[in-house]
Amino acid sequence: MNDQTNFNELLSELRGSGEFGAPVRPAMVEKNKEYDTQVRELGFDRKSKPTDRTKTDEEIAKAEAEKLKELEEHRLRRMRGEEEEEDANARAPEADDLADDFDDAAEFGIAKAKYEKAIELLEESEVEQGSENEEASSEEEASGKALKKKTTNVAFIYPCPSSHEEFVKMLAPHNTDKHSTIIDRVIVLHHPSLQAGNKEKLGVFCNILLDHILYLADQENAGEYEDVVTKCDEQMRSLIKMHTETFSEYCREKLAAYREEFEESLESMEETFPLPSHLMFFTLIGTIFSTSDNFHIIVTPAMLLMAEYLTMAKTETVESVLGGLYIVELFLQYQRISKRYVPEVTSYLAKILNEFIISNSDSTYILKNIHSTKTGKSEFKINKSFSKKQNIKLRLSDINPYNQDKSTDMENLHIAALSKSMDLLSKYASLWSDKAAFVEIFECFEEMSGTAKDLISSLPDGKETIDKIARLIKFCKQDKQPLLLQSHRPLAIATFMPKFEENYNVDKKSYDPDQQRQEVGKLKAEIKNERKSAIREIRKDTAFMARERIREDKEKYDAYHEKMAKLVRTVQTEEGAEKNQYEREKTLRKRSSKK
Amino acid sequence: MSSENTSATPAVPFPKKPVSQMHDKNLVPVVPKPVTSRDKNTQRLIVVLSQACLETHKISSSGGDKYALLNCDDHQSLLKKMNKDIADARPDITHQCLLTLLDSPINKAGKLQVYIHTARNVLVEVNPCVRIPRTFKRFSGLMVQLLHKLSIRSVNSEEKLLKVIKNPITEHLPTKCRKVTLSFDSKVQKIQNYVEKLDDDESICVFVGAMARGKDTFADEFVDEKIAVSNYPLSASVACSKFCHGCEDAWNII
Repeated sequence: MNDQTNFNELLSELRGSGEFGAPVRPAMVEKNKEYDTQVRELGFDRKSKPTDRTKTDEEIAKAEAEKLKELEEHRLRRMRGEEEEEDANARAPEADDLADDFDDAAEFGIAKAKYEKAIELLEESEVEQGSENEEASSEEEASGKALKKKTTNVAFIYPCPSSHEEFVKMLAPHNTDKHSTIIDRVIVLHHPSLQAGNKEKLGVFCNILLDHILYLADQENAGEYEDVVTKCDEQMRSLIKMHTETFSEYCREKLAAYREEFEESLESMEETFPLPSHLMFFTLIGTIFSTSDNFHIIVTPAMLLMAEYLTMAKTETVESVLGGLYIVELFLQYQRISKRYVPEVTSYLAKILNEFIISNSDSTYILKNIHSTKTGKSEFKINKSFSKKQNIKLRLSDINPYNQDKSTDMENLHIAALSKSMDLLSKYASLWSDKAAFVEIFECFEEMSGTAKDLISSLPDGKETIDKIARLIKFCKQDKQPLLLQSHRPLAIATFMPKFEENYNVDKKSYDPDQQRQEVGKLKAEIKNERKSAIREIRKDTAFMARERIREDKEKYDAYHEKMAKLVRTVQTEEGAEKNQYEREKTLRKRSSKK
Repeated sequence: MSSENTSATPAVPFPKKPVSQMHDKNLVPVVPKPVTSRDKNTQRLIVVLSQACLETHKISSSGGDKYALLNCDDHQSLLKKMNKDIADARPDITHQCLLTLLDSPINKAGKLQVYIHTARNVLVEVNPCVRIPRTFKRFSGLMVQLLHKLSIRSVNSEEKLLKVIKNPITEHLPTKCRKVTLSFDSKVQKIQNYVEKLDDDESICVFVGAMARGKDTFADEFVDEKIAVSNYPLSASVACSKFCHGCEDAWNII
């Protein structure tokens, strides 16, 4: 131990002299540098992050419920037409924001509706898609002859088509039942994660799928392409979630194009407007987007176009009437949640029913609130002896004017159109039954029961519909009683709740739920009691003291008086004795002097 | 006595002004003031629920003692132990009658007074404004507290809604008052006709037995006559309701 310290001292002395300083080895320096760089590099290493905790089923369900609730709130807000918070700092509307066709839409603030929000809208529209599936099945019956049957094997790799023509060409060599496989393969092959640019390609493909659905809808032979349409629809919907922006842009372009087609058809006097593809497009819009919104960048223009068609459309051929009725039914679908009034629908229904009534009776009576008079061109004759139970199924292809081989003959189509319009009337009556203007809306239909009783009662459910409207009008009129001057109902006497404890206990003093306050109350009561008893004690004491003092005083007084009386008595006795002696002396002296 | 004989009656009788239509000078209706026992003149209907079985009983349980109205549903074994008839413990009849009476239009118009006369000879005055608890359990709590504390106040005012008062009942009735007992055995009369025969300032006091069964002699010491109101034996609640409606019709309370 001692040697060691000596040695250390010696070393330090030697170092101090400078000659024997600890040698700096170059190898060590190298090593240190290496170490330092490694340490520094470690700093760049990705640190492991805590993973998200696995949520329990309850938490997942709760989160989903909350999300749904939030989405519903958003939807309601949009239905009422209130601005959403994010819109507060939206840019001002610019010229390019809108197609020129929807001028009045600009006044609604269309520019504020951002595309970014569309994703959200899409998610919500899924909630609304109630009857989508049934509808799809009836509409997907249309198909095309252009696609001939061929038997070739399906390849594994397909290029992503950039236009619809290309896509049709690509499908052409294949059998129809292979088409859905091809669509699947295109989508799988171009998954966005596989290659840059795939996302954009799929965006275009999504639009192509829409085009394809519409294209198939216009084809003449029904039923053949149902599977393809279902597949297209399914894939399109999954793609829309990724490509909302492009898809909504495309829809708006499509709407603008349709509008032009509509205007052309008006000018050309040829009925080329409501083709099955148009109706299909409107139906798809109704199932993809949220139709209850007060304003929606796609639904609102679509509705405007549909309403315009209902007002301007000719009602000369049964095809156009069926097309119009389809649109009327679409409006029913669109308005099933928000229940807004669509004036075009009522006037169109009235117009159609009027045509039917005039064609089938001698009367020239025209229902109220119809602006067009009878054109004289249309003849919707109905054989009165048709069977009530006959149920005619309408097909989308019945509307197509180019389609020559109709599934049903004219007579049946007339009956179908008439019964469909009565059916729609009944549905609209239910939809708008709580509108304040119900009477004004449906009054004209009530008159029909008078003018065309036998025609309407010959329809299945015709009588019931008219009766239903009459009943609803009756109750609506009851609610519309004018105000009466000072007709108050008498008021009832005021009522009060009695104050009592449910678990009353005679021994219990307080029913205060607050434990501390109850304690305080108890202590206060105790203090009060103690105070009272103390005061009582003191009073008792003072009373006793007073009593004692009075007794003492009395004793003293008595003693004094006794003493005084005694004195007086002694004095009196002495005086009396003296007086007696004096008297005696006096008599003795008198006697002696007399003697 | 009856108003039919008065010669001043016009050929076409004026429609009687509805009693309940009380309004201020702007024809805006005002809340009517219910009649009180201090007012000895106004015409009114008074219902006395006689022989009401309101008896409190202390029930010892682990969570502390509880007081409840003795009733045949919850205290069967207890009643057997006390050697009492189950039919004697029916506070629910009183509860049902009170609800019927206080909900009736005549009470809303402020023309009804209710008293309870228990089988133990306790007399309770019921303020027409009181809102009786609709469930029996709460009613039971209310009655227990009333019988112990002798009065129940309102939640938000100092007004006494239920009050134990001094016997006999006649001291609290208006000066001119017809007193009747409802009895199945008497002559059947239509209530509306009977009430219409009263003078304009004459009140009517009905003694209804709020018990399950028994003789109609419970109020013989007070009443002027006994009447029957139906050909069928009625429950107490229905009898009360029928009498109220009869008076409403007679006094034009709609």
